[in-house]
Amino acid sequence: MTVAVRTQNLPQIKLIRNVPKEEYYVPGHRTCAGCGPALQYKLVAKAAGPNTIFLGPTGCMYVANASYLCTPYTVPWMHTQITNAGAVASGVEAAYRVLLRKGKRTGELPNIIVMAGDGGTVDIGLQAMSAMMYRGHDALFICYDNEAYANTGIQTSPTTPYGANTTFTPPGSAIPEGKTLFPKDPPQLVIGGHPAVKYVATASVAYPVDLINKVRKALNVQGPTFLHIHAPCPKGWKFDEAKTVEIARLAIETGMWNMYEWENGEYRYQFKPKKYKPVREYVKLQARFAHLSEAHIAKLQAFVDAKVKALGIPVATPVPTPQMH
Amino acid sequence: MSQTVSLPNGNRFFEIRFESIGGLGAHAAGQVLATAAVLKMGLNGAHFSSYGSEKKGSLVRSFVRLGPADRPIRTSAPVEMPDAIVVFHAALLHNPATFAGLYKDGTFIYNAPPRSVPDELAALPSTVRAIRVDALGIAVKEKSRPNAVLLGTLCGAFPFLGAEKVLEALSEEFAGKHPEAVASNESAFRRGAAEFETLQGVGRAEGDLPIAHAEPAWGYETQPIGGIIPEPGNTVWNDLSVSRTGSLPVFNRERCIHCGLCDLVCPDYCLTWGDGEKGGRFERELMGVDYRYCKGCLRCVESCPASAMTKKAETPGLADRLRVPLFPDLIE
Repeated sequence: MTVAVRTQNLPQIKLIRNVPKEEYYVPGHRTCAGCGPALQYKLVAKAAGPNTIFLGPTGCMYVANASYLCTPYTVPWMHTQITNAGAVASGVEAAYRVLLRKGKRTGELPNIIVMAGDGGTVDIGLQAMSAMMYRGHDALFICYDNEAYANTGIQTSPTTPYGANTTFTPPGSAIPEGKTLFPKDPPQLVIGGHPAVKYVATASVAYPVDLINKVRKALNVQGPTFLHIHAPCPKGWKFDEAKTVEIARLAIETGMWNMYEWENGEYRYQFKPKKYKPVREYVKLQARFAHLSEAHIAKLQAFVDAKVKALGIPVATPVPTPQMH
Repeated sequence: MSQTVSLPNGNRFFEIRFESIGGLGAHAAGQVLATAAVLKMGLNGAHFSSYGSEKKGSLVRSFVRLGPADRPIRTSAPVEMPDAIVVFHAALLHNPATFAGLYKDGTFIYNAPPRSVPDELAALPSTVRAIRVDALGIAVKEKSRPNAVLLGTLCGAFPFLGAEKVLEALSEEFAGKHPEAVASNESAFRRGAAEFETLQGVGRAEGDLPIAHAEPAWGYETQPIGGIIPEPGNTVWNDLSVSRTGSLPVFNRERCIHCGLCDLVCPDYCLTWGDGEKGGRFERELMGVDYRYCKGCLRCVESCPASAMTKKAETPGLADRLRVPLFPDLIE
């Protein structure tokens, strides 16, 4: 016997004044001042609302938030290993369906959200994430990308950009550029290999209303969805903590970060400037790139140029976004 | 090998405890001091720090233990009874553990602007030498960090430490990675060694201060079975004031247009909102900042289109005066 499982229908918002005032990610967490991942967590929790289960694989958003028996989450939250967030989300979703079928729970299926870092998504956690996407569980997998393993002291991850100085890729006389590899592309990895996936998008803390709407859109879809959220890390990228949002916006304006939605095979590109700013403007604000020579920056620019050239035709922004300055 | 330095207390180690928060450089300061003692002063020395995961704004303790060359240091336990305590941030004075275990003839160095003698210093023994230095002010002026200034003050207070040798070690530490910081660190160090103020009679206590053993609320005996968290959202009881490193946002309600932009860039949910007038222009109005949770990233200042948020230097008591509590029924 199958029971029709109802999922929630969260409305899109148009203006900042329509952003829900309730907070489900409360203060007192011990993240760094100006933390980008903490900001996106707050926005995701706001967007998802009270009927939500968060799964927190090991990463900054577990370690700095949930120190011994303390958490800032006012909705159910569970720690998972960094390797198995996708598997735990699959289990939670399957178990909840059983509870609904047996009548032990009533109402709608909660939003099941995995809040994984870049390591928990496309490095250590890759197989469990991929398996969840493959089997088609109704859960949202969020990769908050701060481009390094930050809570253990800024080690390189697969999404760390070319030329970044991390503990594992220190620039020196033998390897003057620091990191020599170009980053993995998590959303393309999900889109390319997982036929059950219906909705994938990239978002940024620089555009909070857009971020909230993408989270809601993803949660409304039945089946696995994936969001890749750009979350600058003042500690790891070594910039002034007041500039987190400015850095995030510059990443989009220079083409280092591309904003798009992918829904049932169709791409919709957003925030695609007519003329991209040179990556130098993004690089010069971050001390992790301080050692780069002109040749290295040119190499990074060539990578970005090729990347933005491959992007499709821009579409109109679906929601008005806050204008700052 | 340079000539041997004699320590002030011959029969035991000379022990220093740096009380700090992540990002101010207490770990580096301890390392520089111990390196100078071992390599340049012919002493035995040990240094280690205790801190959480890699993040700014959490409590850091850095311990330095010095002994004569013929006496090996076999312990690596935290310094419980220090001869000197160096406090990197004035907010740490609220925590009684900051003072714990100080000898009655010990030295207490704290970082505060001129003429500032916080009430908390009454907890010190009356015989303790209290030293105030404006480490943050000097560090900002010299484009250095408070650790360089406080190391200077420590060497100024204890001439046996050999300021020139410690300065040498400090410069060597930075010459490789941050050569641009060497000159500014040197001037900050020299000003720290010269511009401190020794205070008499601030303490009211008698005798050595007792050792503090932290008793966590949850432990092996008391934790719930299965790793269940009984009070979700209980981080609201944390006070994160110590995370701020000198500046805070000050809210001017007259200028505020209640647009909510600051709320969408604040990762800490420390802005207090109230209901606006019924049928009025704003449904929700910004009332102020709960500084208990503000870590001073100043992103609200950057984002404010109406200049209602401004950056101000944090002076003692300012945050308490301006604070608008977020959960007034729960936390005063």
